[in-house]
Amino acid sequence: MIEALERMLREQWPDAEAISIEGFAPMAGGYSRETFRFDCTIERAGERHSLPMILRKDPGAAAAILDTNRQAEHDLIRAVKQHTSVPVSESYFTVMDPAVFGESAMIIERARGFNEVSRLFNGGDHAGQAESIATELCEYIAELHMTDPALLNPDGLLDDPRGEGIDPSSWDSYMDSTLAYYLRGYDRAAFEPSPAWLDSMYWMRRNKPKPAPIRVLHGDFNPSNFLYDDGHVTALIDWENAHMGDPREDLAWLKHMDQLTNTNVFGSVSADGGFLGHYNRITGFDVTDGEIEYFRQFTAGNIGIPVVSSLKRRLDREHFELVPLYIMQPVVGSMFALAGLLKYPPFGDGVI
Amino acid sequence: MYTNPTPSDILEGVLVSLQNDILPNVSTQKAAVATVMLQALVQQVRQMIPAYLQTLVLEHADMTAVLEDMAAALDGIDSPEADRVRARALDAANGPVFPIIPAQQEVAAAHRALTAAMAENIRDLDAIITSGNTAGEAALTRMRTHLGPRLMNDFATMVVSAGAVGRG
Repeated sequence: MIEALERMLREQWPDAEAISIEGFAPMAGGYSRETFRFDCTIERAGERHSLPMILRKDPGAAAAILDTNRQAEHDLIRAVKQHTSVPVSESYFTVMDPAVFGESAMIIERARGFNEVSRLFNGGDHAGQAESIATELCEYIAELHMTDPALLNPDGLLDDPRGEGIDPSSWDSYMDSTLAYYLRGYDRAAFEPSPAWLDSMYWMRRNKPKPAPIRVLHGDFNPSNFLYDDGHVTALIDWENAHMGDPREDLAWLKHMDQLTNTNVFGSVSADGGFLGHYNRITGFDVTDGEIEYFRQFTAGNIGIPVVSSLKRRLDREHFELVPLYIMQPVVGSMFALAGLLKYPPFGDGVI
Repeated sequence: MYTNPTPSDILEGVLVSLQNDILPNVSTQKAAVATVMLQALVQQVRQMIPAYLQTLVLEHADMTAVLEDMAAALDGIDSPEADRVRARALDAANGPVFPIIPAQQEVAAAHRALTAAMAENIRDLDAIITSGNTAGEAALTRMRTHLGPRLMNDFATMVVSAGAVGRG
């Protein structure tokens, strides 16, 4: 793979006199892509400099947790960099021809910063940075949601990135088409009958909240998808699940993943009375706690359908990767959270 | 409780990962041997789990009968040794009698069928509720009363710890 990488980089940078790869190694972290870190040393016009990089490669189709498009991710990262102050890694190239790396891939900057949220929360040695970082995260996601979607999604690649018939032309059509996708997705994904998940989907369809503007969403805005250093967010990473949608999805997913991963981004903002108050002051969207609870269920469908489908393919023996099987852990945790959101006894009286 | 994956399916995943993810990256012969030993032990547990409780119960019932038969075979013998054998048979006969445990696959299939029935009820209740019939809500609440404790038990039984390994 290193030879293919060097060959590809020489093709991309024909003016380079020499290119070499050092420290190539697989990275732990994101579950959905295969990622490798390396340093690329380039000699140009007698000068030599080193770029920290990541090769972000799709897994095989059967093992894929999220079926997303590297070109759309690359285009969005560049648009975010151009039109917002949200910190993102440089996205250098996409390699969509599977002949090069076996599957499509992208080469991105390895951004500076820590990704160790366990050190930020629960008394870790970075705990003093938690409030400023959580506040910046709130402000960056608000800025993303306030950015004109025409700037970030000029060719409509994020309208229906999974090709499931999602229609973001209005809030109602977005919600209706997405909930219809979830119900179809359940039939494809359920490796085990799940009355609670179905209950959630039908309840959401009967109880839609007030409308909100449709915007470009990060799509996986969770405590694992940012880097930080010295009290500041240095990069929002992993934009592969970005899509047009309701901004409350990003907030709800953050809160949901805070609970599942034992972090506390949502509770670490004190400005304007907390994360939601701060976000509402910036955006004017007037998001309520009840709406966040609704969208926690909604985003469980957005991420849950492809993730649980991957687990089902593993159980059906279409592949033998470990990660989809491990995902059983957060799946069971999500079902437990769903019981609370739907006020199942003993969390409530069963009436929501 | 989930019927899919079974404990055996999960252990099979551990075996495959030991083979594909761990063994190729093990750098000492001792660690490689330990990995292969681990594979054997995991496979042993995988073979034992489906039969463990069922076998214990069957063997317990059989041993009770054997002890009684042994005592019967010594009928008419008057000795302290024979008395002790008869006393053990009596203890066994007065001991607990366990119900026969059905095969794990049989219970799992029946359990799964009822869970599927509840899931299908959700679809029908949605139509009933949407039509304005409040009885649908009452039926839904009854099912939720079952599901809440069940999902809590799943969490307590299956989830190892909060967090996502490898993600900070």
